Amino acid sequence: MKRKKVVITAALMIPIALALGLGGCLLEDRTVEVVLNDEYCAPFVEDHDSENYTTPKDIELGEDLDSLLADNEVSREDILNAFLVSGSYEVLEFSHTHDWTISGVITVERLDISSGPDTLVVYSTVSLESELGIKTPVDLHDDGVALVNAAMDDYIAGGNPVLRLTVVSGDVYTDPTPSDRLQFVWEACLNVQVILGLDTEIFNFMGGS
Amino acid sequence: MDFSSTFRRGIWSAVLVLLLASPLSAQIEDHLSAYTGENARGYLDPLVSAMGTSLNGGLYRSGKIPKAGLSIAIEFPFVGLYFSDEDKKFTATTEAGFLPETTAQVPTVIGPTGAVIVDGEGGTQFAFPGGFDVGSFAIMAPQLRVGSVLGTEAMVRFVAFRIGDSELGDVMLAGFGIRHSISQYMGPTPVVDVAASFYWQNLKLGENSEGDDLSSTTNYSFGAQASKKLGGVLNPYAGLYYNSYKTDIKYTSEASGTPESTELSFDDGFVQFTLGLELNLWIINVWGEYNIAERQSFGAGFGLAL
Repeated sequence: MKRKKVVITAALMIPIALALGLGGCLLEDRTVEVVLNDEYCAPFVEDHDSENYTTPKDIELGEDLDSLLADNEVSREDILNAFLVSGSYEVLEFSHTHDWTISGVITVERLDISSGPDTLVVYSTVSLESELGIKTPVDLHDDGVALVNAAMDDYIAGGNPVLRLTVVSGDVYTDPTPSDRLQFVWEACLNVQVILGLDTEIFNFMGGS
Repeated sequence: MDFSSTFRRGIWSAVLVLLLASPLSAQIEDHLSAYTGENARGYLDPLVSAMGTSLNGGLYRSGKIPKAGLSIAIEFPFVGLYFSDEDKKFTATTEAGFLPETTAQVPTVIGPTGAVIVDGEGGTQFAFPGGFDVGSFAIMAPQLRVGSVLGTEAMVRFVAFRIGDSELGDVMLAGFGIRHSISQYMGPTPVVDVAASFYWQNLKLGENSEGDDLSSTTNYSFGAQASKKLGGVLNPYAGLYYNSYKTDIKYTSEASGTPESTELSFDDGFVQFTLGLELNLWIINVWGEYNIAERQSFGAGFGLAL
């Protein structure tokens, strides 16, 4: 009976011994590249009696990126790369007896340093009535994209960039007048990605990669 | 490495279940958050398939089940498989309004660790996340076998634990099965011992940002097996089973830049043929087996029959 107990005890120790050994030896270090997505939107409240108007809105890019990192419990030092992915606009509020068609550009500039403004978006023939509530992707222009990406690089290097998006009107149909004011709310959004290099340990029990 | 760290890691493996659970439970949601829909499905597919396959190993060996009498066995089965090169990449499509829409071969969850970046209009770029660079997958879980009544025995697999604030999070594997002797109806001296069985298992891994299970896999398996004891020590066995599994994944996607609760469901069914050999050494049983199915896997383990 005693011999049986010894055998049972010894046998039950095997998985524990294996575990202690395997737990220490079979963990492998990895630096995995995680991608975070975020979207920064600038709402523009338009109320004009002329077709010539500009509407600025600021994006605290540095603070927004700080929040993104904090939400994911990572730090600026973990960032490998960050860049602009896409842009879009959406008419949020529009209520009028007739439709308006607008065109123009959205420029981007840096407020923390002297850079820009550069054209980011050219929009043409936007029907406010038919675009209401629809998020529309837009083609982005090289100069504006380069400015935003440079701002992201400066953030990685320790800066705190602030962007200003400005709507610069072009043609408006029909012409706004004091008695028929162009009134609507829309927003421009920038989608960005941040690539992180995160160290982790994984079990790769039987090897291979 | 200090002792407490070594011990904690040892405990992981001792009770443990899923040797790939570490990345699954915590960081995998970070990776997944960049994806929605089909991209997330392609990213996870090799791992989900591996879980569904591995749960079906180590469930049975001897087809001989006494008609009556108490028998108890505690067993420690291990089932593993290697991933193929095809498992490491999938075809993904850009998201988040990226223009032009572009497809690329990018890492799955077990693929290379580096992100893949594609170029778009106006100097924009889109990044697909990397994987964890894992070559193999294994499950190890203790199980208890108790018999027998009317030539029928029951088996239970269970392990559940929480690793505090580590990357592992919650892990729970629960399983139950019954086996019934067919050979008891084949006369007093059947040529081989035959049994039929049914198993149910549920594997839950991790916790998503909403506090729900990140992954839940439910597995069913039924079929028949045969074995023949040779020389009192060797016990070769074979089994033919149909296995099916359903895995539900719940996570928060931020692919569009704003958080969005996302659910994915995977299901599959497949036939598995098993060949194995068991050594009966007094009260200790040691075995190895090879499982032929959509994914080939192999198992080994030992048990104490009391």
